[in-house]
Amino acid sequence: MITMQEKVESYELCKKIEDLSVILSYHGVLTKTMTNKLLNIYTQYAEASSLNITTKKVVYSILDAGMENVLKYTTSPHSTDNKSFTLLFQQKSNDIFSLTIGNYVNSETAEFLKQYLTKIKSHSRPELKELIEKNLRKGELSEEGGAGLGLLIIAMHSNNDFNFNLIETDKKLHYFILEISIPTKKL
Amino acid sequence: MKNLQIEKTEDCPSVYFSFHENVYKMGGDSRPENPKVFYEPVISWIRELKAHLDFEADVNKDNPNYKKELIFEFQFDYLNSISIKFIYDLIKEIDALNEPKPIAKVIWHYNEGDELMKENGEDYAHMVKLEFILKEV
Repeated sequence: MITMQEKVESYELCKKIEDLSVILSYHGVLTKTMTNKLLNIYTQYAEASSLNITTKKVVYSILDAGMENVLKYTTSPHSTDNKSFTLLFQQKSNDIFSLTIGNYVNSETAEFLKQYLTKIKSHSRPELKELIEKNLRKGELSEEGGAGLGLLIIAMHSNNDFNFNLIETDKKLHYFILEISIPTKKL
Repeated sequence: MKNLQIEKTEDCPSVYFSFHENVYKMGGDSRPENPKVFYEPVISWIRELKAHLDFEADVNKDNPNYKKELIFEFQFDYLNSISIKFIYDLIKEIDALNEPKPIAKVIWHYNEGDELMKENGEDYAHMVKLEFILKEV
């Protein structure tokens, strides 16, 4: 039986989520199946919205690339508890969506992400396109099966409007937070 | 040469390549769980096609009426980052069919207003030598 206090707390939580314009949020294990479910929820939202087709696809592409990146590079802090993935997708204003993704990475990946994201953040759109083309021509796949395009695609589609943070949780692990702003218009 | 036919799923595009019918079509969403497993047979099929075309051209080298034209039609709704790489590899193999004589071209269909898929097509067109036609549907 739910107590009155719990009902009030549930209502307050719902109100808070509404106030934050949360479209999609998830905390837990990320698997390919869960990625599909989250993308399906976004698709339903996008179909009911008045967004143009390009914006819908750009947001889908960023969501997908962000989660693909997590699936490839995440490190579980404990073998029995890997509920380490967090996703928050909000409409910040009429013009901006915000996607925040968090996951654990090892120190080596953390260092790579820091250097790589700092580097690509300073690139213009034509420079990012050039890097994508270079990676395609190189034709290499990483050990994880990636082509090194995901983060470049995120950077390009967000017009480089992203920020990241790496929080050291212990000597071996960092919690990687990537916050991406996506314009809802003029894409 | 056997047809290559793959039914479309939630994550994988449909493929219909037929040498005998001279029909080459691919489309849908592409974000396969194991892209290498999905795309390698598709790319290998094009390599095998090249061998067949070379053989056919050799047999018909003295036939003035022999003419071959292959049209590869793509209509994707979505390509994830790794699929962008594999589709590029596939288009490169199609490009290689045009040696020594240009016989293959690509028609890249994209949905009305889908600037993202149009841009993907433009990027591929810029990276290969073959005739690459962009068509809004």
